[in-house]
Amino acid sequence: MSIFKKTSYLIFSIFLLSCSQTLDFEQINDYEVAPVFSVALVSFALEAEALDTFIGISSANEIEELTEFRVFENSFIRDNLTQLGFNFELVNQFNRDFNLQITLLDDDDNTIHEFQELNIVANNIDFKQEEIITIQQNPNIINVTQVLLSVRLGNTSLPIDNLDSGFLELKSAVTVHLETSI
Amino acid sequence: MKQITLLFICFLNFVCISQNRPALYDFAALPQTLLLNPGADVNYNMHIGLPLLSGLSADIGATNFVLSDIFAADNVNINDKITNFIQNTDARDHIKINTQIEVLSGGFRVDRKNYISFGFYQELDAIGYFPKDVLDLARKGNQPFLNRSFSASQLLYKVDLIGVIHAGISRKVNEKLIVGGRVKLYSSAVNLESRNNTGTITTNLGENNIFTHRFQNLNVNFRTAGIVENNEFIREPSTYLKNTFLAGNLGLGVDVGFSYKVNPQLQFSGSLIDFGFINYNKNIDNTVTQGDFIFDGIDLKFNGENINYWDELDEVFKEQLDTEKNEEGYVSLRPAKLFTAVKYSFGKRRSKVCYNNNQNNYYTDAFGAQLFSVFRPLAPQIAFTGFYEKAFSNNLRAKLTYTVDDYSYTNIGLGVSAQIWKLNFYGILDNITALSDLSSANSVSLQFGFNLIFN
Repeated sequence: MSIFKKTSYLIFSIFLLSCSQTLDFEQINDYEVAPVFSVALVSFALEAEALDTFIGISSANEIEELTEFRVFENSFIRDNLTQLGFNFELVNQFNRDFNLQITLLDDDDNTIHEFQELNIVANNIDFKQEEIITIQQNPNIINVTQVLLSVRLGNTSLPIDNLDSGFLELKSAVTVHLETSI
Repeated sequence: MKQITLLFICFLNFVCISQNRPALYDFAALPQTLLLNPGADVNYNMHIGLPLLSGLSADIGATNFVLSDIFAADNVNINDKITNFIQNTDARDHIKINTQIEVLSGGFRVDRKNYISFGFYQELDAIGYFPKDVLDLARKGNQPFLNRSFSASQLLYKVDLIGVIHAGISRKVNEKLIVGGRVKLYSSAVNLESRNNTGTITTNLGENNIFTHRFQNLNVNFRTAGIVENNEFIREPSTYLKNTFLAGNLGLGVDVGFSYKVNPQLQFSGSLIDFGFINYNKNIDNTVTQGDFIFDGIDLKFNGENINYWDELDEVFKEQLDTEKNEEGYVSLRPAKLFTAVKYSFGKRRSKVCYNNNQNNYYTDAFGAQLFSVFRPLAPQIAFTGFYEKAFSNNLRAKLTYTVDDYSYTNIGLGVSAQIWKLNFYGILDNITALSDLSSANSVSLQFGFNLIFN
């Protein structure tokens, strides 16, 4: 046998004799990731002057604010969303009770979800409320495009006036649970 | 036939596994050693590489990762395995692939002192570092990591598919010193890279709202060249191959090297390979995001002005954290390689061809050490190799190597070069101790090729 043949056989034999333990590439299909993102949502800090404009002088007992909320237009979020956790923190330095109603709407102003009303008693500076929405039970939630906030005085017979000091403050966040596989 | 040829070239480019360059360095005076040191000693009058088969090589390696870590059929949940893998990596860990195919190769002796070599090869070179912060953020989100700054600088990768036309000369200055140089013309078919990124993304407990999200000093770029033309991806494989033949983005580089014999038995050598650049100005499609942005939710005013808060937020976001696509050209350096070696020869002294002054005498045995370094985007990668080389006859030589590098401390390699009549065959296999279980190897490397060598 020639040197050339011997060498060729040696090299290729080494290759052919090489081994690998059993690998299962199919298991990658079972891989799932479930990231959780916490994101600041809406906030406000209303002093007496602002509340007075709408609650006291105008004799209206409710003020509202509407904002678009188009996070669910992202197809990745729509397709992989499993749960939303909403956190609300309020500080009420007034000696009046307030009620805050937050409603999630679609593009046609239809109500998709109404949160449990936030009732903040006078001088409560540590109000916290959490609400969890699972997509399985509320599949329409991904159609939300607007958020409507309504602030009401607990007792309309005691309107705010300019001399009242302090503020009503809201902080909020949403915790977005996603689940996706490869 | 044309399609089969293209398929074959693509197959060789992407599938073949081989090449630890340090093992080939200064081995058996092979023609391919001239690509690692143009100042290598050449003791024949002419060589012709078999087209497409003269030099096939690739080098696949990963630090802190082997295939069996993830894909072993061990009944362990893959989610746990990937979690363990990511926990054990850091931003310096990486995966690299380098393959080369010599399409054409040849050389001839001009006179006693000068040997000219030339050729054309295609190379795929890719390296990607594990962006641990990005992986953590994508896998777990920001919720478990309040106050942690996720660094964009860990996004670091580079992929090159190029063709290289080269010509070089090896010149014997005197009996002790050989110097050489090579000029390379690069033609890039594909370049993908993201480097020199800066900035952090952090979520803190906020003052104005429950959370504050900070995008600070972000400057992230994704550069591509050669894959998009007229806003559409190039889908034709033949276009990529054509672009490796001088139709792509062009660049220039040089190799320089020397061999110096202190005495007939002791030799020092060294070389600098791929010292050059590619100027990308065709088919560019870059995406750049830069700026600072602090977000703590939507601040409602309740002032009855029907403010469109969402549009305002979108506008401020795009203004402060601008993402733009552009077609600006750029220059990218080639990953330069540095070789140095010392070799001590001993044993019987033999002459390859009697009465031919071009043929050097050689010793049957040699040992020595080599230091190899390649300049990568994050830091140079270094490999230290000790070797023993044995000439069993004029026609059969072998080289045993032991290499310590980023991938392994137990890398034993074996190279064999054999010649019958004018046909030379060489094969080099690295990390042979891993052959018993390739799936548990951090690196795999093999080179082989066929040349016609005329003394």
